Amino acid sequence: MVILFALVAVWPKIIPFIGGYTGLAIEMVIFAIFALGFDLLLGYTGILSFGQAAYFGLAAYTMGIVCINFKVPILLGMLIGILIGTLAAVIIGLLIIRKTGIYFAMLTIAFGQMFFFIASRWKSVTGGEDGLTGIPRDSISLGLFNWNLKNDLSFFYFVFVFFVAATLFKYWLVESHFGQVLKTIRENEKRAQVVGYNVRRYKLYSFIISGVFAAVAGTLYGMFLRYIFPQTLDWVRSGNVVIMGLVGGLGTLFGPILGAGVVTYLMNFISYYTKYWQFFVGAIFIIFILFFPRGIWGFVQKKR
Amino acid sequence: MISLNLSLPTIMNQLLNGFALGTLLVLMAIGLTIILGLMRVINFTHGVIYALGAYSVVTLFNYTGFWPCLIIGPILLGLIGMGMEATLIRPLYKRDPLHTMLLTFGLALMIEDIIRMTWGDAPYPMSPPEFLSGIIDLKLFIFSKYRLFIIVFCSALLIALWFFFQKTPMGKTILAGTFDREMVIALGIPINLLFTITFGIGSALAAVAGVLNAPIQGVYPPMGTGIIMSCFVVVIIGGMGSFWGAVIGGLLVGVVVSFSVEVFSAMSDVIVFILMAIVLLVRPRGIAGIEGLLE
Amino acid sequence: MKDEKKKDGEMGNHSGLTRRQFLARTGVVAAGLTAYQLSEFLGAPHLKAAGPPILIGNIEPLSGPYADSGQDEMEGAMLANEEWNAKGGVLGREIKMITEDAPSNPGIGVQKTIKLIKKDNVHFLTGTLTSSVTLAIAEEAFKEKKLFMAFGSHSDDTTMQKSHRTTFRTTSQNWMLSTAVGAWLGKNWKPKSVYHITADYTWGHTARTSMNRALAKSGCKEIGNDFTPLGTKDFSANLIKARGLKPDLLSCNCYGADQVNLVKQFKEFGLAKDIHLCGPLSGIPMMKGTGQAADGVWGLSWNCTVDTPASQKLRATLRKRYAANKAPQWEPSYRHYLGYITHQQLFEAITRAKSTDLIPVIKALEGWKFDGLKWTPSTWRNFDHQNVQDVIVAKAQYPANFKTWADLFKILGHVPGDECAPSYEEWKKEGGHELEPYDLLK
Repeated sequence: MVILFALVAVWPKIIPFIGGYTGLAIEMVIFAIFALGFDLLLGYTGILSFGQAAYFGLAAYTMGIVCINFKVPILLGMLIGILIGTLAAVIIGLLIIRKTGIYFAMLTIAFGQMFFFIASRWKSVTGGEDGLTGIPRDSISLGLFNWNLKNDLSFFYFVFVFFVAATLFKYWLVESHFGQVLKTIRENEKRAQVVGYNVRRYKLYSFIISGVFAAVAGTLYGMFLRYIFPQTLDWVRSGNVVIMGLVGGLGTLFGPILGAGVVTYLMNFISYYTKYWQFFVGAIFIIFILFFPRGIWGFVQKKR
Repeated sequence: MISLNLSLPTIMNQLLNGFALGTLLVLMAIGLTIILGLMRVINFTHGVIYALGAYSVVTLFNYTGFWPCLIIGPILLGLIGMGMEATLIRPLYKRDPLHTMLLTFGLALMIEDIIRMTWGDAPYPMSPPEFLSGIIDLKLFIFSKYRLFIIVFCSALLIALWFFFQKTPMGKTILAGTFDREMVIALGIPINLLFTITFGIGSALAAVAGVLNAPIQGVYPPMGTGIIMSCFVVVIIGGMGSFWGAVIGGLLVGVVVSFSVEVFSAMSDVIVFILMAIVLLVRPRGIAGIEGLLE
Repeated sequence: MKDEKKKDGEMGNHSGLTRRQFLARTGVVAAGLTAYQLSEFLGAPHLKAAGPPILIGNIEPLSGPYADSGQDEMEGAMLANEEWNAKGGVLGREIKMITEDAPSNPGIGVQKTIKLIKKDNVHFLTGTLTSSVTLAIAEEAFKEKKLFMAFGSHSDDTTMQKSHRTTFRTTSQNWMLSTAVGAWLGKNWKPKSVYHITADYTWGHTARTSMNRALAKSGCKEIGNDFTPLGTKDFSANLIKARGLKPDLLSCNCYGADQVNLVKQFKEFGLAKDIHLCGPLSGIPMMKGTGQAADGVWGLSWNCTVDTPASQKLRATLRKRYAANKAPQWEPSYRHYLGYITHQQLFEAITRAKSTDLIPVIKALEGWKFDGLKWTPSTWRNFDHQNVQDVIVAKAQYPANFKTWADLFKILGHVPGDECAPSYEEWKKEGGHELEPYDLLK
């Protein structure tokens, strides 16, 4: 894991060699955080949610709204955004956790779309179709020194801090007792219930934590673009993170990070050459589902 | 925001629009629900097949006019659907059902871009065929001829479908399979073939809806993504695996959407999802669905 | 359908595709977008450069619903690039343009902007069409201290509430268009009531506000308004609702495919008998899709039938350059005009400023009067960076002897920009954002 952190830390320097730029590196890390959370839900607990983008977007919008309208400082704005995103995950989780399988997935889509349409239509608050411009990214004061985030490279390291925290947190989570229970639930829910675990509660916690990851990633994304727009909430965006998880390898530590990096890079890279990137991304996804359902990392692990 | 300026002409018109939209949704929902019920597959390609149906009109129109499109398009797309199922989806049945859903999602992304590659990005506005365009002016209120036609045609098709499911051996098997898959297998019926045919029928229905809706909506590449959400909503509200559920659900959603445009236009998109969430929480099997299906 | 079958068959061969193989296959598909980029590099004659090339980042929707308008803007800009490069470039330097595809999603627009600035190191940004994308890019350009020449966003915000010292806008804003149309309607049809169908985003909103303001001058009142989401296909509910209220006018504050569908359905539901159709903005891109339903009185930014010698010369040049690959009825649209005139103005400004630095070029543009190929000269107004120009009022039609897209509009009149643009006081009252001081851009 130390190798991973070292690699990611110097990633902005390496990425120009494969035709990237710092901004792309930032995106990759942000989506890695998002994918880590999603993987907790699907890879470890076995629950598919097609609506994680709702918390991603909600957190970003909230931060944008409080920072722009109420001039709240950045860190506090992030915190509020994350809190609201998490709160939404809690509420929705409580509502729908009783359902399983396909019903659950459909419900997550439904709520995701609800947020999407609210973001698109509530123009006075969210800017509607135009989105919310002017999300701040100036400097934050950390007591001893000011960290200027305007520069892309320094913002990258800001995101990096969250990335390290997220990865460590997830690692601790999956290795702990909580993580073991999740895996049991993924294998066979009924058995876990019989053994005496309150399956529902564990699933709910998993859902909420996944939402937290999404919210963190969302606020960072809003800051990265200095702008947020409704399409960050729709089910296609949620679908993107599903692809990232699967391609990278679900249920592994490095898988989602790898998947996020690869998919983000590919989407960018492919669109340089053709406007039909969706075709290629879809094709890659299908190839993986058919032949490499355990993703890149899963495949590598099997080979070992 | 909310306007309650409802006069009789307005109500009649919105009802008509609602039924036109509704009967189309019913067709698509039946297709989706038999695939869902029998095969336990959430078919994301349903939307792009609808789109392909609409685009087939664009291509065929100059050669054959409108009417043959109603037959050629759906048959072709039914076959394509069967091809997709047999080659790509069938290998995944033994696996987690999530995988089939994800596969259809990936396919939908690809097909949408294939549409872009073949027909370009720009939307094609379209008009109904000559003798069906225009309105019937009954002084008190006006009817769009073409929307009336949609209602009539879909209703006829629905009756035919009902006969198929209730009276023909294949139809009865499919319906039975949605209730009790194991029994059908136990009876020695070749399940793979049945699945393929069901997928084909479902796709053909989506294509018919696409052909019918094209003159109203025109065609544009992401049209599938838009409608598939409404389809899922209908299936959930009506009840998965239920024929009449799809009918009631479709008409209900169609009318609600039409009236919500009238009464509270800003929320017209969200209303269906709110409706779906309510149904899922209060009566998860939907209005007429089978208890415990897919839970 | 055929393509799909082929795709199915090829599936199995793709396992373990190496990056090289992938690139090779992608190269085949690359033709479309890359060709335009390549042609910029290959087409320019060999210049004895007095310096490195001047890089222009051009952002247009090349996919999605506005792809054809985006293509037009790019073609117009390319023509200007080619003309100047043929004369030896700008300040002796070659013009190179990189066009990035940003369909109407503003998030992608911002991402492409970041890429153009950070990776390609462009000197200037030009382009766009959709107002929401334009606003987002304008913010980013201001933050990164790059000049952004917005071709084709008509929403008032771009040079009013959300204006920036780094943004210049070429096309007529909604205020100008609606004032011109409203004045004509007031004089000729004397309407008393108007019903609006408004696209629910910044352009639609300001269109409605401006139409109301213009129509109020002749005593016309709004009796109803529907907001429709961008991309609405079916306006039957809205049209039926409008019909019930019996307005004199129906204002279509929608653009693109939305406008096309509304106009067609307007005819389909027989509203033309009792109600006049109008709107602040239209153009060939819309009316070419309505066929026989073409109708209504609209504001135009430019049209290929503008009867000044300069406009007809541009039309001829555009036809010579592009008509070969287009449909027989093809005529250049106002989007071509916008791309062309903006780049021409940018190059002239760089030449006057003798520099590509931000502040000198801005100063060279501000207040500059130029020949906008119309009847009276156009001006880059200095307090809002709006191109104040003649606005055209025209009727859309599908005549019996239709031959080319030039027949789609009959020009009814034109209004000089000064008479239909907001005055400084009006601009301030509406929330006009004072342009930032130059020091901020150093």
